[in-house]
Amino acid sequence: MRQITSLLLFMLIGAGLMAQQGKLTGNVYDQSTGKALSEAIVVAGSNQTVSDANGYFEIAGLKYGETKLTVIAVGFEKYESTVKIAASQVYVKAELTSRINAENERRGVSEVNIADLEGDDESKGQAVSGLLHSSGDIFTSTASYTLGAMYFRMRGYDSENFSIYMNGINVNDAENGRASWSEWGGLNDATRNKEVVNGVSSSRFAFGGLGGSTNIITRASKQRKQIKFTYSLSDKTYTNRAMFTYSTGLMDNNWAFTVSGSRRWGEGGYVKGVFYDAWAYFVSIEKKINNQHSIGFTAFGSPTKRGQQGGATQEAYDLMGSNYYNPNWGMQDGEVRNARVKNFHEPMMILSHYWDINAKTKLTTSLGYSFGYNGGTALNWYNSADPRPDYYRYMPSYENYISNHIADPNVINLTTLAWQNDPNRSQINWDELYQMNYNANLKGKQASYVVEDRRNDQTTLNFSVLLNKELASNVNFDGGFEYRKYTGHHFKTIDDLLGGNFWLDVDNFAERDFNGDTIKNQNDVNNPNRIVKEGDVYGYDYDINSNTGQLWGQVEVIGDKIDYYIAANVNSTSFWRTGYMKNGRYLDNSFGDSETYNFFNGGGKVGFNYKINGRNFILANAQATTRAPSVYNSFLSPRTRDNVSSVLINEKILSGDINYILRTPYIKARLTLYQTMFWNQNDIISFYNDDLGTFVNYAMTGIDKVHQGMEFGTEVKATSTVSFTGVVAIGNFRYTSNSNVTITYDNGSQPDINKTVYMKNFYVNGSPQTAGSVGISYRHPKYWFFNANVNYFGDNYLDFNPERRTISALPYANPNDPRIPSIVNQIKLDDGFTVDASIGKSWQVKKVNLNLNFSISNLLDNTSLITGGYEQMRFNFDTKDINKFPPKYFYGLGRTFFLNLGIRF
Amino acid sequence: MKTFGIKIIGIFMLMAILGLNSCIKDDFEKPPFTEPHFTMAVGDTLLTIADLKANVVSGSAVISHNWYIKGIVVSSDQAGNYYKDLVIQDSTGGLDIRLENGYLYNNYPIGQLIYVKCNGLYLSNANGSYNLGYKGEAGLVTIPEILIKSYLFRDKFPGPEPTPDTLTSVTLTDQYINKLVVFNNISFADAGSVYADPLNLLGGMTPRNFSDNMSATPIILRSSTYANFKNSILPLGSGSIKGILTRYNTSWQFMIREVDDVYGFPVGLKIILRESFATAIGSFMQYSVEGPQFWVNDPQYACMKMSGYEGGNYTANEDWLISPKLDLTSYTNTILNFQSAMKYGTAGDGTLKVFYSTDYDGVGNPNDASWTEFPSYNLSTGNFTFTPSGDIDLSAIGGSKVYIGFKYQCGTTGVPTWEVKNVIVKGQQSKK
Repeated sequence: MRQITSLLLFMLIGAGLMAQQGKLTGNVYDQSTGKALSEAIVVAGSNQTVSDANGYFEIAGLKYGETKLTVIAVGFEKYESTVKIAASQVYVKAELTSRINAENERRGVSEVNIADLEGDDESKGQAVSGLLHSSGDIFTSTASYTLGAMYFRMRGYDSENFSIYMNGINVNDAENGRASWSEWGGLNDATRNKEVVNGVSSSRFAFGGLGGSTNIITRASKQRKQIKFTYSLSDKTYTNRAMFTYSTGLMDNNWAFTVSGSRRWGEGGYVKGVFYDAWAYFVSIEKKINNQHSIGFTAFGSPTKRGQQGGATQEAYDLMGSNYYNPNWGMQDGEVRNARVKNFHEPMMILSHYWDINAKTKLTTSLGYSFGYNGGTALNWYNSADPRPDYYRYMPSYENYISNHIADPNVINLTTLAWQNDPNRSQINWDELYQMNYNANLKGKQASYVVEDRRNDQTTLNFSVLLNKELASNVNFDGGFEYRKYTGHHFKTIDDLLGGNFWLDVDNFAERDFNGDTIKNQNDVNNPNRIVKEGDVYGYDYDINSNTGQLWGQVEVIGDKIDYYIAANVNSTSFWRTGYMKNGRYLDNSFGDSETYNFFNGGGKVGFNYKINGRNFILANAQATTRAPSVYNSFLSPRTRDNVSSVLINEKILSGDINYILRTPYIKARLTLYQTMFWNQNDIISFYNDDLGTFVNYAMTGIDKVHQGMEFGTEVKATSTVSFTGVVAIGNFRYTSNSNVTITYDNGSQPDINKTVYMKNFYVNGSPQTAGSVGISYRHPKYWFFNANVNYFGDNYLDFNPERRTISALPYANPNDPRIPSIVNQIKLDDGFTVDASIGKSWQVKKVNLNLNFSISNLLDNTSLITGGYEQMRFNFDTKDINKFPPKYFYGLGRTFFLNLGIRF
Repeated sequence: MKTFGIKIIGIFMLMAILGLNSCIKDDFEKPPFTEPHFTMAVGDTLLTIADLKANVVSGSAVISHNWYIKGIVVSSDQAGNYYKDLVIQDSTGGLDIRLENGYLYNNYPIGQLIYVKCNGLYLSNANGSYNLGYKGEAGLVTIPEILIKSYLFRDKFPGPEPTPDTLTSVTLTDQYINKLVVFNNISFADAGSVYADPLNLLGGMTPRNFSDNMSATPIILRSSTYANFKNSILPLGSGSIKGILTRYNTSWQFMIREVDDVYGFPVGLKIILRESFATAIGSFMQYSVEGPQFWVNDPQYACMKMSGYEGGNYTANEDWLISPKLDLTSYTNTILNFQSAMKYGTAGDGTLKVFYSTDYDGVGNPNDASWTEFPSYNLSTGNFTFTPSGDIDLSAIGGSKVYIGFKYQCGTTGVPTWEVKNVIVKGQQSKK
């Protein structure tokens, strides 16, 4: 009865005392989804077999008495139980727990389960597995956990291409499509049950995204029955993590409960100022009404505060002697205070009805509601010097860029020394900000500096229906309807007046550009010259509303030689803005409802799995879809007005892949070639334009991209205890067109400017385009293990400033000007290696299961691996010198550790 | 083994309690308002500002004595008129310190007492006013930002602004340069204009003359186009001005810190019409009753111009230059001013006359309406000398449809050229 989860039930049929031998039959299921697991290896005594397409197996010739039953399936924990053979035929239902780890957060380290410690023995299996459903792929798991730590993204896709569901409810952000894992951070145990689909593939719970889909199953009856405590110690982001989970499984009274809670905290992670202060809670209740109906309710949330890291220029990193210098903090009250704090709590509740209409038909209906707050603080200032320590004028190099000025080496020296020795120079000088505000108080003036909280409080209502139906013994239909009604309330408040008395809600830039105009300088004409204090809303206040609906369906046919599927979806999106302030610069289109923008889209996908034989498979998938532009890239400047990008059309996406899969007892491998094309994408950025001397909205349209490449992953079992893994990803993620940009003055003081951004053939940033990992894994029979990986990251490119790729940025005089390449060319980041290692052991003492895991990331302490960054949007148009506003970089963390202690009853 | 489990649970509960109690600080104690204090080291000498100016030969060398001066800040860059300057004064005089930093007012507000370490700085007298700064390759430059706190030391909380010295244009002396002073009963020559006009800059600032009528020479108010009051209107009438006196060679100049430094002017005295004719006819219209010539703009002399002479021919002409419709109903003490210049005619020949009408339709032949000539106004007597009209009283004219008309009329002999500019109608706005 060790570690085995909730629902082990075995039935003994009759007393067939006459026979000396009995037959064991049974079905193998995925515990979290209830899906039949084919090709699982079932071992009873000295006999073994493989489950069929319906998860069914039979083993005959078992002697009466107790026998040990072991079931092994790829991607699942090993199932073991003791079965009493006391009849000619005994039936067992084996429910296996998915091994996919909940800690998908990029910086997380997977916890090690006891099952991971016991060398899987698949050597005798003929693993003709249903690979379309397989989630234990070595490439995917290495890419997620090992390479993901350095911001490797599979196929270079943005996170909007990965769909995340929670009990059938889509939880991708309604405005930018991004998947957020932080809303259930710290609930690793409770969100462990998942269905995962990688890439374009058949999926039984959603049409899904290009990169894949995940459905987190929170059903209490599907949670592993356990009491579990976990304590972790780390120096990455949080210092301490304590988690508790209690899950009853489905009890005799047909109720199931899961409660989970956690706390993650720490005063400073690897990067100074990055504190962590998070709680999390989770409750899931399920009542099985009868064999057909169950009702489940889940509520969870994760109130979190954490300090953020800011990117800095290489000059600042070099001055501070560390690539982990964080300009966001300063000392106050003897403590580190971070000016940029993320602060959110977005509870979600889901009510689900599970209806097994008959043995072949299941209908799952879910209603979800989430609300709460999501904010991030930042300094704001009025008619005062920039308080950020790494503002370009405070750097030693600035002395070289003062116009009409001969650089004084003494000043450069003194500034360098101050940076190196005076924290009031290199970090935020909170005390001085207070003193300046106190001075303002004496004059009866508004605060010069405040900390503001920029909020996006989201309220979402979701409804989904999922139908799973077996049309024939080898044909499945899955389909569903999803509806989402979303409102994102965007506003900012004064978080801290920093000792000042008040703040006046007028626009700094408008005061300059429309000097003396007492209407245009107002952020809210309906409440002019408003005095605001801590907690008051100011600056901007609007809702983004979005309603989406989707209908999808899939038919999948399982055959002896070939499996194939076809799926289609249609969806509609409508969004609009509701303004609550009448902006003085946009009297006519800032207040009230904007026009509603409607988009209709659809798409389809097909794929097959050709089984050459039990060990060799060819898989191919193709998808063609259109997609509504994201709200985020539609409104030019929703803080001030309704205006949208001049070209607002659906994106087109075409994607395909072809895979060869090898599965032998000793070698498992996958080789994939893929290509995805995106057309008509939009991108909107807002920044201070030096050339124009004001804030501008930079709306790029007609962006086309290609993502193509190769993925290879293999796992080689050298001995029963030692295995090797190898993973290679080679990609080519490029822009395939120039884009058109419309530059709009945020304050409307000048007419729009249209021009071309020459970005064709530029690389898509955000992920190394080449990556690889070689690993060795040792698993001792006495439940301890050791893993080590050597990882390579290459061909990573810096995000580029589009303005530098327009005609405005180029020196006109001479087309051979040597400055042109430095202005135009994209920066390629250095390639690099890291080494990770982990060691762990687990103990089983009666019913108590204890495991200890210690891992070190970046063992060789490579602190020069840039994971990302961006060119500043400011550009020195006068001298065309790119070094006045150099790029800002983020470095991958150096050597860090993660210690995890888990105990489970 | 039960005890083993219990022990483990105990450890976790202990951790949980630790976790619960480990409050992550996000509520920070406000630092106190700390009073700055500065004391000079032994061996340092405190000079008055006057002593410093007297002891240093301007522009000679960097000061190498352990000298300090102290003074109270009287300038402010809060409104944007001052930039990279901090003016301090003591009882003996004032001094402008040049600093490579904006937003000085946050740390050095008006009324702040500061000590300035002079050792290492450079004093220069530029055309009459002293500046203290840093020695650069080509003379005085701003003190680099990184060094500001090594030379400027605050002492005590900022106090009130020092009481300004009240001056008149005949009591000006060098000892008041860079000090806070007040002039009373002044009026602006360009009243009704904005403080700072980007098209009218001298040394980066817009010069605007004011006078207290005690001296023939006006004082020049200089304002920056970066000032937040750049588009405010110089008030009409007379009042007071407070600010910092400077000198540029022989001319006295003046800087205010904020728009409230100009005060005591009559409330409600408003410009009803202002047309300079600098580059265009503006809101006026011209109507040619007779002759092929008509009123044209002359940007070279910034005026409207009319002559019956063209291409060697003298043509009889009647041409009107007519204002837009004026609503004088809510004004009292309304006054018209303009400037005229004439040549090729005879003084007082009646070729230019100024009228008003209350029944003109604004578009048609002015002779279809009734016009009344103003009883008394000054016109140019020749040689293209622009002559102020003097105050023409309009207060007897009421109504909401008032037009002012300049009528040029000539025959074929004695044909003059007339120029008109700077037409202003002002009045006291009565309370509604």
